[in-house]
Amino acid sequence: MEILVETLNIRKCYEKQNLFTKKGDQVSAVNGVSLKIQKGRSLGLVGESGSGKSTLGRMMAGLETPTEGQALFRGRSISNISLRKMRPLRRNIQMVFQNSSSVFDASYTVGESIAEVIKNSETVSKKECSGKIETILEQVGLDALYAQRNPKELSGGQRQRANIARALVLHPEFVVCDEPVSSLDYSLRKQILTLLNDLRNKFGLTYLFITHDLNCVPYVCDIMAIMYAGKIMEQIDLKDNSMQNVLHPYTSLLLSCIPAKVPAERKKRAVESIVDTTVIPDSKHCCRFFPRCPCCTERCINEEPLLKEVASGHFVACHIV
Amino acid sequence: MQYKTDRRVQSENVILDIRNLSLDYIMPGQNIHAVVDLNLVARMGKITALIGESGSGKSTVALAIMGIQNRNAVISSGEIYLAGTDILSMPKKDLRSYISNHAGIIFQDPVDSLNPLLTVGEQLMETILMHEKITKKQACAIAFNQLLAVSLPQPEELMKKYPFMLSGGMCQRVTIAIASVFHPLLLIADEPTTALDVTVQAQILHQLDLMRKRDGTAILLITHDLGVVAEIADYVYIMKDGHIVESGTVDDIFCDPQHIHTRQLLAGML
Amino acid sequence: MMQVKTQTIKRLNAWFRSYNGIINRILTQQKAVVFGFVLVALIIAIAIAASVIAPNDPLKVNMSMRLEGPGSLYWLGTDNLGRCIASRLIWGARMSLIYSLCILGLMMVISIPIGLLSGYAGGRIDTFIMRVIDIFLSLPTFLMALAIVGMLEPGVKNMIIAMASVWWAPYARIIRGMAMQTKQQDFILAAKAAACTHTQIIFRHILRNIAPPIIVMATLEIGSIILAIASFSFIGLGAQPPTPEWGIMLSDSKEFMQTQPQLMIYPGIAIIITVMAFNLLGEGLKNAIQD
Repeated sequence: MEILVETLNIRKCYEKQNLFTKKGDQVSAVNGVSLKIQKGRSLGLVGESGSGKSTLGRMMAGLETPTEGQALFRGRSISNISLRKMRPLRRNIQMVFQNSSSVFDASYTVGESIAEVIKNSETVSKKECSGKIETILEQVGLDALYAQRNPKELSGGQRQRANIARALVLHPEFVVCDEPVSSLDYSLRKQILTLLNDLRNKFGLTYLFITHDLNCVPYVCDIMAIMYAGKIMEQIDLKDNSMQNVLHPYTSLLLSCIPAKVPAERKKRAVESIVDTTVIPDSKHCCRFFPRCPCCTERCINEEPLLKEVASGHFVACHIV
Repeated sequence: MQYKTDRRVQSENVILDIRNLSLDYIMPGQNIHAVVDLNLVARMGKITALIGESGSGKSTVALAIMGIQNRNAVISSGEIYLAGTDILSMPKKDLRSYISNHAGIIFQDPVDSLNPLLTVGEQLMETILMHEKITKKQACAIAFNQLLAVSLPQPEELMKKYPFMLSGGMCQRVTIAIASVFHPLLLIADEPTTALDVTVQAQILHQLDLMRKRDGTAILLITHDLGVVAEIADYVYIMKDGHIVESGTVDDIFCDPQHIHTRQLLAGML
Repeated sequence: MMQVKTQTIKRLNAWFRSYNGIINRILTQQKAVVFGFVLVALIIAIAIAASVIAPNDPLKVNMSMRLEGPGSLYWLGTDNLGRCIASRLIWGARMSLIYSLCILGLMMVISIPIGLLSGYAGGRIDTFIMRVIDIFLSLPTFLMALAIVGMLEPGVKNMIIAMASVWWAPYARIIRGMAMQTKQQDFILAAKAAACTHTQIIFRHILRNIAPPIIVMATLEIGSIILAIASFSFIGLGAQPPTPEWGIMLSDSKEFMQTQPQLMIYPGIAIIITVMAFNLLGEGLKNAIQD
């Protein structure tokens, strides 16, 4: 299968070096990630806050420049190119943002914001443009009249649908969804996830679905990748393996922390007493999870584990497994 | 001075009894009924969950119980019995101290709930010294023990840190420490884990569970996450548009939901 | 052709309706603000219709009628050269408004592009421009303007150039700050995702979002500018006699302060009312855009 998007040892560091920081003290948000996304196989990137997943998502969407390494779309680098050179690729790479309220410029209506996307990539007549806007709004479940409304007048769920409409109006091949349901009410989440899945099947999209909620992943993703402290800890193909087959201690911890679905399933679990939030600088070669790992060994503290394939479509970065 | 009390309320282990509470937001030109005829009971040593979507009025109830509701919010009818006494019939000067002696509240965004200009130790001690006339040293010792009680490591160092230096989970534990320093009978948790990661959420829920088992605190947990409710709640109230549409034990609600809104909420679980 | 006409009319209607909202919000505010709005509208109307409403020629000297009291011919009386005070006040409104709008316009033309460029580009360009602005900010503005006018010949044109070339710096800094803040918003990232070029982002998103606060700042500034113009004219470095300008009227009436105080009072009141009106309007706009 064709590889649509990939990253080559991509790294992003936000700290600026000055006289007072030693080189060894740098901490990268994304620290050497090589990820491949195949066409038609959506990847769910799961991580907690501070794991670097949003940064990685933005770099793979070509919206942020990496410090090292690059992101490729169909073999072409999208990392260090100017906005002008990026323009023709924009119709194929899009992003659905997390915070739907600030993602729309409040000085334009919803229709005008969507039209901006269309007009920047294609030359269309006014009638064709309105036609496209109406079609996409209906496909995301909004009435065509919403095109005239200001984004501030919409509810959270409606705004997120408008956000999705704006990203998908040109039928891009690759869509990065950055926590699209995190800021929505619980009752709306399932609706939006179902919508995203339907549109994926309809338009043949490939998603990079970023989330901190493992429950969302089976709805839209074929592959799941777990990210911690800027590195991929585990990658599992959900077609061949069940989510219960996870091997990495961090993934097991995440799964065990998911609240029960019914009272009868309440778990008597050993909860971490307190999270050790000391950040490990880049220069130290170790497994980033070792301060919290229940099965940490000497090797884990001194040697960084690399992602290795343990089963078909299942990669783990851990010395224990 | 005799305030309106209810002996029956006190004897049944009920620490909070809201009866027929109605609250309106008065704004120029419109009158919004935020809470309509609400009845709710929270018992000692039990976790009572109040579930609703955003805009259902659940946070308004929490603020009304603590007496810190919006200036535009007017309680048009009803009674709120906190530890046997109706706080709505109390004069303002006694209200503050009564409520703060019996109830505490923690909010959704832990970093925002803390004063960014004061260290953790200073904020804790401020709360302690406002309640009791003790020396600073004694207050410091109480603060120290309180931080240990919420499972925060190395309290001596932690007391000197500012909120922005701590993670979300640690800040939430600090707010729990501040709210529970004098062992309130009722702890209101207004969406305490919504802004936190799932591993931190598990810890905070565990902490709340520990408090109710160890201290017998009644916890009113306000949330829109049914998973959290399934995980730790004992009693559940479902709220929609200011009304309670269904209530019962957590098993009743999950296994045999009656109201259509409850069924919708359950169907929306991932 | 007819289609284009109806299109334009529709667009004008929509534009007017969008600003109607703001006018509504201004009018529903405190009485003082409404008062300011009405007063500004009145002053502008007077300025526009000066040639029609002024009872007499403001420049016409009539020594036989000097220092007359108010009457049917001269509504407020005459000054020391027999000119009609009322006409000079009315024409003075037009002069003050024109000069202040020129200065304001020139200031904005300089400060907006510099502020936008500095705020959006960041990095070395921003650092360089900020240092230039810092230099301008450390100069005493009024004295600088005086010095510039002093070097060139005294006159309205030079006064306008002098004031604009010194007063642009604080605004450039504020605009830079606003541009930087707006740049951090999510919709700028979304605009990049929508394949906008830098120019499009600056004009369609950043400028459009910071335009309302800029307009508020400008409105609040007009009062100060009018005062400055009057001050310059008072000391003879701005508008030159016999131009009917309030500052000049104040200057001319210096010698008659004890005997004919009304010569000073009338232009003084005119300045006070105008400055107050613009300040109230500016406050009202500020509150209106905050909602």
